[in-house]
Amino acid sequence: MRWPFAGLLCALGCVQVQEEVRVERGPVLRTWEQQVRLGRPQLSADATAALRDGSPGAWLRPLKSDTCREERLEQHAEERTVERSARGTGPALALGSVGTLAGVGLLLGAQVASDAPNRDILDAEGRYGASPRQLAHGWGWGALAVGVPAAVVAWLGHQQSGTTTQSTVQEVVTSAREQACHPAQVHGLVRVELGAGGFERRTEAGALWLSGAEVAAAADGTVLLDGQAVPLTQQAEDVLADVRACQVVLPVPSADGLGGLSAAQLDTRRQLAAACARRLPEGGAAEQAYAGALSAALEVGRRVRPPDGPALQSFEDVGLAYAPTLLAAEGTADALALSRGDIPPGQPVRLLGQVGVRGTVDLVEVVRPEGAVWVMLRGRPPGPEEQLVLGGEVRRRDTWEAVTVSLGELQVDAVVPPWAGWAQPLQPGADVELIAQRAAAYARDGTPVLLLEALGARSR
Amino acid sequence: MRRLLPLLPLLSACAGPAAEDAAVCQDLVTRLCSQPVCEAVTQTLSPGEACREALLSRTGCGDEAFAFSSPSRGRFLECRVPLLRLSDRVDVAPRCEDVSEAFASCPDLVAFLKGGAP
Repeated sequence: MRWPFAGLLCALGCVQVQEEVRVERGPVLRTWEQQVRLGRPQLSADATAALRDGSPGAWLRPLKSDTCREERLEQHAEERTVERSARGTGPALALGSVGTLAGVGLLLGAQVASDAPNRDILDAEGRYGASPRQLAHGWGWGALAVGVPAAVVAWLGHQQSGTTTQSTVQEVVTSAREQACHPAQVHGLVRVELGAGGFERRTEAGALWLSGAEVAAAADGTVLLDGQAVPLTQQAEDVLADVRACQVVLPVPSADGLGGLSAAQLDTRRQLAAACARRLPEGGAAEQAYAGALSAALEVGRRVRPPDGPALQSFEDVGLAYAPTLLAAEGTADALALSRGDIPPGQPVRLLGQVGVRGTVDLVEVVRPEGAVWVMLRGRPPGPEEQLVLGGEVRRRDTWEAVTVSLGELQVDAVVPPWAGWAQPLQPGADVELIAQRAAAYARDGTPVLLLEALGARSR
Repeated sequence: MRRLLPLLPLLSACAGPAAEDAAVCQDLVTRLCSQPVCEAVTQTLSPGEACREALLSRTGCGDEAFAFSSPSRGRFLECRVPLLRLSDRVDVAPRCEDVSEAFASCPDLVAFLKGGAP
């Protein structure tokens, strides 16, 4: 009983079945989303803008939320096809059939073959050669010994070969992202740490009021809740940025206050008011107020009379009034003299060039016994120190346009007072015509620099 | 041992039945007297012109009832082995050096072929 079993095992070992699996994805049956709670609680802070006693500020709400994974899933049909094939089945079938048939044929033929020994042979043992019947028996059994196992191998290979197809439904996560979920209010001591100091207060009903000044300070600080850092959400960052804009533009100054602002300042405030309007309705009203004041300032700018000079209404008026005799353009001798600072004070010059960099500078008018002067500031209002140094009284502060004008390879700097006589600011890259005079000469990095004051300008 | 019984037909297919003693003896004589007769046969056994008849007569192998006594069938077959190196077909003559080797290793065979007791 053990021999056939061992033979079967051997035959199975000889049958090398190759398996090829092919998976074909079918149509999408349905899609859905699910939220998987991952735990990992985290702190964050949300913010909303509000007005309190007419001043803009923000409510800061510390939140404790879990981390969830938002998954998008897809269910689709899938066909799994398994193809099994035994590579040796063909040769085994050929060998098995030929061997078995030959063996059976030889055994049947042996029955009618002669049994007389071969007397032409007498071996070392003293035996004659085998008879034809003996030879037929020997070869027949030998062929069967080869053919039958081969036939069994071929049969087993055929049994194990074939194709099976299985249809299943698969669920696949097509996208996943982690985000905060299930937010809940938390209470505690909130501290806003700022460089050297900071401030702290306890939450009221889960929120903390930040005044406009505190919002501005919190921009550079760190928010802590009971000593634990609380990162601001992106939405809170945006709200606080807009509240900072509200703090600049609210409340809207009176008509006189608006009149004291330059066009550039009004334009800046109008843009800040637009940002404020995203959070507070008062911002929208402020935007309209600043826009109206800007429009009026630009209109008035054409007619305003400079502090010391003729009343001029147009660029042509400037040309007639100052009658420049020098022409500084690319390649002219006057341009070279201009670049060296070799232009006497009070000598008007006509410039033909291209606007390079455009910006603004703040200047203050200081009234001294010997006359009024304009002093350029470095971005902060004049205090008592400047008044002391300059020896006069600060009468007004204004924002002037400042441009660089290229005359070919040469470049000169010019400041443009608000009454210079044009409504539209000069755009970088535009060809411009200026009538200017020397305002100041100073050294920058060891090189003499001439600062021109534009009396009139227009685009060409 | 019984497990090997199925292989018996294969093993037995290579050889036929055992030959009679007279046939074995006649086969040896036939091989020794194959033309041309080796010098070792001529000098040792001096069979004369009719080599086969002389040796069959001396040994008694011509009689179909011949049976080995001395040397025995086994010893005779052992001494015959060198003569089968070329072939065990009866019509293939042995090489003369194989004949000389057989004579050198089997003086009892030589004595038997001379017609006397070893």
